[in-house]
Amino acid sequence: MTTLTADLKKTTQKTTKKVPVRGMMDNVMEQFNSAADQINLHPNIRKILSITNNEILVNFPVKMDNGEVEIFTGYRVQHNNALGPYKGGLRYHPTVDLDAARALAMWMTWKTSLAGLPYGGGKGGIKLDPSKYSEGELERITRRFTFALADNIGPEHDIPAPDVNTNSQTMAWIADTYMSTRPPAERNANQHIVTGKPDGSGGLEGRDRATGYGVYLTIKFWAEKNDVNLEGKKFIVQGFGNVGYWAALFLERDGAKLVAVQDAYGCIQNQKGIAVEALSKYTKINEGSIADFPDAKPVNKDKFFGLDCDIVIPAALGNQITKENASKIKGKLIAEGANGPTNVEGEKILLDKGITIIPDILCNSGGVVGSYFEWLQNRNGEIWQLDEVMAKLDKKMKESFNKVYDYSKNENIDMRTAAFCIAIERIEKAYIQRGIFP
Amino acid sequence: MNHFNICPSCMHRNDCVLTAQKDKVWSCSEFDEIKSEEVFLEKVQQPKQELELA
Repeated sequence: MTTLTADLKKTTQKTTKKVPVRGMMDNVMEQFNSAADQINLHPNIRKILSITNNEILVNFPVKMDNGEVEIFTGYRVQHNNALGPYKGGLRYHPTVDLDAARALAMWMTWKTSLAGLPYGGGKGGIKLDPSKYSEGELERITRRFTFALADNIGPEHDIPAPDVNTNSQTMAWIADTYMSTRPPAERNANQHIVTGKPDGSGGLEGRDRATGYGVYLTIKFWAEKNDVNLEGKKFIVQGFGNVGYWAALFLERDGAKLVAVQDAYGCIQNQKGIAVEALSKYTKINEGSIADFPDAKPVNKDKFFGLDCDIVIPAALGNQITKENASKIKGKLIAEGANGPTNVEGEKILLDKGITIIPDILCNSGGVVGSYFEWLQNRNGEIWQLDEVMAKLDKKMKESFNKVYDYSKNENIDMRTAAFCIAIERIEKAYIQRGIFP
Repeated sequence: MNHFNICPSCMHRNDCVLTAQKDKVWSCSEFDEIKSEEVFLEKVQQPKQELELA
């Protein structure tokens, strides 16, 4: 048997060409290790933060519309809770797996820590293609998943939120199921089991604009620090979804000029300015597309990042600013509304050119801060008005921005490295003060 | 190895101008899930059959 195994191994080694494929976990670990080296992180804490605390896998049955029973697999990865309950999204997608959830959970730990929130990081989801199920089936799948997770989630333990293919309705089902399984007298004290709920069911006023407003705020804070007047400044936005739209609208209100937009359908430009609200209304009657907007001209998609502007806002997806296009960028500031829009090679070129990057972990953190406000609101039995929410968001984002900006200046490092250092140092401090049980 | 990506189930997967690397996207503001009606239509489009009496 040993010989057979050895032979098999030999054959495999001979015939299989090893192709190194970088997983998401490799990228997140690289960022972590780089920051850990920078701050000379204690080796024991490095060990703790390099792995996840808990990885929960549940297989659960759900009755389908046709009467058959289907088995689903759901995950919840809890990376670290040194600063507070695990926090992170639930995504429904055929490619959800533990590796992806691990990387995203770790990413959430840094994000919540940098934002100064009393949270750790988590992520999870169900391996399924939602388009193949009816609304009723998705409701039963969500409720049964919530039941299967049982006490592995909780308002003071692990608080899920919407992510890819999940929304406020999904969160409402989770909240209702979780609350229904508590003793009657405790039910209403558990509304903060999830965030991202509909505004009529404990959701936060203004949650829709929280991420985009946060992106705008970080640009505004940078401008203030550098004595830059946003009036008349030209900006381009990639992605005209929730984040891109709100960031553009708030910048326009400060006198800045949107001159180019790119979405999934195409790319448009008008150096005299594109009215944000008019473009938004146009997309609503044009199946969500910016293409053929009458007050702008189409532009070749490959020329988008090289267009004339002062500020670039990649607010769609990752790996957009690379070694191929970084040298063509004319803007002096990149505000990363999306997750990971600048890759390592692209970033190096930008930094060498003296372009400032407001890193994603800071720039798009308005969303998780909004989630924290929803949680607090529910926990304290309060209902906050929109102006109150925006003022609190402003304060919280300013604290985070100033910390990162000052750290990067004091240590003479870029803002991304500074952000990771601050995030990890905060967790390190908690471990040092608390010690390791027993 | 992880191949997590959301493009295959996005309605823009065939025409999206944002990226050519459609195997590396794990988060995207333009992501729109393929509508269940579309899948349903794809599933049910079958050749017409004559009704035969046994």
